[in-house]
Amino acid sequence: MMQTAAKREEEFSRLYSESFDYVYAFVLARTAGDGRLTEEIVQEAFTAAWLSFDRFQRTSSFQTWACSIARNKLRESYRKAIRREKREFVFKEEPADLADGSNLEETVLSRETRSAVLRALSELSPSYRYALILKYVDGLSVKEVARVIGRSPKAVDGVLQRAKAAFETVYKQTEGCENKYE
Amino acid sequence: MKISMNERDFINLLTSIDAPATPPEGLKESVLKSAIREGTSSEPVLSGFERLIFEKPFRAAGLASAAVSGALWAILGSGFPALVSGWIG
Repeated sequence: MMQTAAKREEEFSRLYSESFDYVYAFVLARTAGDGRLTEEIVQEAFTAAWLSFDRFQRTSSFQTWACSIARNKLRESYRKAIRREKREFVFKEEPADLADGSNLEETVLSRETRSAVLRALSELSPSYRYALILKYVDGLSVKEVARVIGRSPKAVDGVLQRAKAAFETVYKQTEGCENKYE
Repeated sequence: MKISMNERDFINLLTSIDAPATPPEGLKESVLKSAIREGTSSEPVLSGFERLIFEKPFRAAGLASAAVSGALWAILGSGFPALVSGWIG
């Protein structure tokens, strides 16, 4: 019994080590660079993963499984934030450190641009931010976004339009955008 | 004149945030330690039936009541309403 528990912990630790950085980056992008919130969600996700590790089906990778748990935790967090309609997710610090993406240069924009995007997203209300992330970062359809957020597709369409306009306004105020879009 | 971003620029900008990131030093170790500690010290794992009894007692009572009533109705047929009204008095 003890041996089984030790084996379980050993296997979890190994899979955890392999996937931690990926899951952290996944959550960091979806909290718009909020380091504190990211740490909380990553902690909750891995605790839940450990608690239900026996139910982990090897049909998908551990990384994918952990990300799906993290996605649920993010949804809970955004729902709370949207309900409270408070601005506690407002960005007050510099975005957490993004790794140097020099080897991923084909489509990746500069580090400064990423920081500006994160900053602009963090300035938006939680409902706008979450809608944009679901639609454009996770690539969900309007119908799927509506299902996650719990609103009608028509309402989500309106939210996305307003969110996009709000994002553009904030983003254009950041360095390097004036020339391109004005 | 202001030109709004086209959809493609917008998608490129937003997807650019999905990039590798460096977690703060020591976070990886502390998250693992905390997850395992919390998981190990947590309450014993309950089976589905035990969870129903202890976590949702009203639902369990409702289900039991419906099952017993259904069984009695099936056995007694038209005598079931008389039995119920007899119990009620």
